[in-house]
Amino acid sequence: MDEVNFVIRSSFDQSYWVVAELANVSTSPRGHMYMELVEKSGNQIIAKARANLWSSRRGQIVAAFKDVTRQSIQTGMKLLLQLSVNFHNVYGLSFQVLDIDPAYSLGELERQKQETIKRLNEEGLLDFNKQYVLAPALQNIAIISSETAAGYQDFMNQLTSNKHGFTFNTQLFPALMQGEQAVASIIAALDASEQTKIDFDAVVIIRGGGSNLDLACFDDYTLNARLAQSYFPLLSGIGHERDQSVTDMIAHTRLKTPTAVAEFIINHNFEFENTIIGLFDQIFQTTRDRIDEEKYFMERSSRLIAEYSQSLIAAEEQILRQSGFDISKTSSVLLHKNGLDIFQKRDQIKYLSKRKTEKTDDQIKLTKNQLVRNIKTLFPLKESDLSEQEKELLKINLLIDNHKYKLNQLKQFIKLSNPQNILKKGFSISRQNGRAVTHISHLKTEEILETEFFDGRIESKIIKQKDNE
Amino acid sequence: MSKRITYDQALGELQDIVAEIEGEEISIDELSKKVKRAAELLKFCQNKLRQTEEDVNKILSQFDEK
Repeated sequence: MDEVNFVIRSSFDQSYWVVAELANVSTSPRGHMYMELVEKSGNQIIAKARANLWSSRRGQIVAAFKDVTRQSIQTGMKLLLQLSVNFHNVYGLSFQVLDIDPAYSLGELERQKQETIKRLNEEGLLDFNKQYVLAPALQNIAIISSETAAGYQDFMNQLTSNKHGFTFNTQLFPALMQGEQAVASIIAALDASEQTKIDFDAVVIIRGGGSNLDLACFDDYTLNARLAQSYFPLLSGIGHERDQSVTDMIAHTRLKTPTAVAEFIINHNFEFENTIIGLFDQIFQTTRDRIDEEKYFMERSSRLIAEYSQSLIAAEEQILRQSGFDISKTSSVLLHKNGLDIFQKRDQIKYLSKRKTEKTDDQIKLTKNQLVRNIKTLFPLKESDLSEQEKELLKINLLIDNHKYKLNQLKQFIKLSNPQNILKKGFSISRQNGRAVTHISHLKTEEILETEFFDGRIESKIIKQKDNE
Repeated sequence: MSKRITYDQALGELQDIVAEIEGEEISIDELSKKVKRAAELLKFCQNKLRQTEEDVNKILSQFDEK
């Protein structure tokens, strides 16, 4: 054994830089790291060896590795290792890790990442999720995260305490967000989110706060191919300021932190609310304008109708006035003309009748004169004779008048002598046996006396006689 | 006036009457009838407008309260 040991020592007396894939890694309680290194041709393992990283060196090497690659040393990684060959009489042949070159791994990771991107792009998956049009308001949200992750808490706090008072229906689909199980776990969570009956508006993939380590799973082809084809728009909040994972690239919208995802959702909804408020204002304004327009039309109509009606009436009145004027003018002209005729005719008549009258008068005069003449001829009396006759006539007239007077006096006397008239004056006639009583001596007491009054007779009995003294 | 008339119908009729009166196509015999009709239509339209405005304001105020 010592000889074997010697040969090996003398043959491999220096250290060697070796490229190998880490097939397995474990850490002992004492802090040693045990690695299983393989070399592959395709999927076929063509070489296999164990390597130990002693705790004395491990701290420094791992820290440097993390510092550069921002990854833990994990299964599946390709590493450039500085190894020395050891042979132990008890444990046999092994390699001792003296150093690991992080730059190589970083380059290798980057190469893998570029390959993944290239493949996804070729398969049309890189922009696949970006084809979704986000719902106007995001309300039902699936969350893929770790329940205990600080990022998840940040996200929920930001979302629920928004100043607009928006509420959300969130559902967490828990997953491991780092380590070797992360890819399978995240895919399982996504599957679960798609199997609910909820039509999520978005699926959010968020990862804990400040740590920028172990983001390599988000460059994984399988995971990203699946995430890209999610049923829902994918919002990512896993990255860090400095870098961008493939998941960020395939996501519908990439945000830097979980908090930023929550803000994005709130702002998106706020925009929607603003749009709605804007639309409402527009409806309000348009309605107002329309009503004002109609009101104006009504006012205008009523004014127009009033104005035009009045002017129409005024116009008709003017026509009527004109007609009235025309009638009075025409008729007065007509009247005037006729009036002239009438006056002429009247004058004519006057003139003619006057002439006629005059003519007649003349004729009468003539006839009278003739008559006088004829009478004179018939009774040729002298003027004196006439007067003598006249005197005689006068005498006779006087005589007649005298007689007339006497007759009248008689008539008057007769009238006054009528007993009836005397009776009217209050006198009465007393009769006895039909004869008028003129003296009381003819009468005796107890005899019946008949007295006649103007309007009737009475019979009385004589009671006493009295002589005139 | 028929209660079944819509605002648009009333408006149309009103516009016709205004046009007729404006165009002086109306005889004096018809004028008072037309003006009376126009007044009815106007009143109807204005009432409808006022009602609509009130309704709209009511709806909007409900929204504001929210």
